[in-house]
Amino acid sequence: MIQGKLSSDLLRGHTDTMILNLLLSGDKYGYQITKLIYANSGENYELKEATMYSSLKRLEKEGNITSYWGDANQGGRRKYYKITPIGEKTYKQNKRNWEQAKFILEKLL
Amino acid sequence: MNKNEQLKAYVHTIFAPYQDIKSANEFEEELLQNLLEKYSEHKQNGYSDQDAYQMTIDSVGDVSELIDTLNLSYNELEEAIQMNFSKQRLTDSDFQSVSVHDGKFNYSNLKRSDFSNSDLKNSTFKGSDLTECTFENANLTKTLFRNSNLNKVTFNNCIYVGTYFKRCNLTGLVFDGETFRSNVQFRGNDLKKADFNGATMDQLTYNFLKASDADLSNVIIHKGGL
Repeated sequence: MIQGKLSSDLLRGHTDTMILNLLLSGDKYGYQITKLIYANSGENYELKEATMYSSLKRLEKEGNITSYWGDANQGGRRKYYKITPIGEKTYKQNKRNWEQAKFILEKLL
Repeated sequence: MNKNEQLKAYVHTIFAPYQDIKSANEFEEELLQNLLEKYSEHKQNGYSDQDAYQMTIDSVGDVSELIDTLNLSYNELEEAIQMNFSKQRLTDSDFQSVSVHDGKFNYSNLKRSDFSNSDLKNSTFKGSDLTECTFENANLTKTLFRNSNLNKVTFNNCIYVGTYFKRCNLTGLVFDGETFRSNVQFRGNDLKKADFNGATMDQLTYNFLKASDADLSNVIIHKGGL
């Protein structure tokens, strides 16, 4: 698990892109998102609920995603998030920006 | 209370001041659903109730960030200040040191909640279950308790001015050493075995209690103006 605050902040800055990436493969609800981020990070990064929601609400406001309530199952209702065409563009752009930043940082650090 | 109930109470406490706001209600439902599933998965992975609960709560992160996410307008925040906790299930809530004057805690389940150091001026508790609640150093000026269950409630060093206890269960409560400053009224309460040893009160309060057959030996009567 990532302990240092700095490394955690570095990752936090990319929460929007991480979530958009997950939604590219299909609609997902909150718990699925945190679970997949934990699993796909090799159990190295736990996305906090507060961080996830501040990102989800921002993405929704910017038109990158939409949300809808699923049917109630035995536990309760789940709210699903869906990526929009704008979101797909944002994802590609963010990914390009990251590739570029990585290229530069690897030369400088 | 099982851990699912405890999670529900925990999430509810976060959103309690924003009950009248639809976006807050939906957000509460959504967050709770995530946490319940997370908890159940930790359990399936072999963690104890307590460990699974702690891991789930720790995964929430910064609560103030959650509230920021609600992106409440100024008007909505203003409304939230006029708090209404009516018809809520708020067991084990922590209201310590909060200012909720004019708050309405009606027809609510508030078992084991802590109101210590809080300002409850003009607040009403009608038809609510206050079993095992704590009121230490609370300001109960003009606070109304009506038809509420006050079984095993702790009152200690509160400010009582015009506080009104009407038709409440006050059996066995300890008010010893408490100072009822003025116009504190007790009407139609069950006061069996209530303890007012060393309490200070004015004649009005004394008369009410006397009429309810409370044990008033060792009560100090003051002439008002405390």
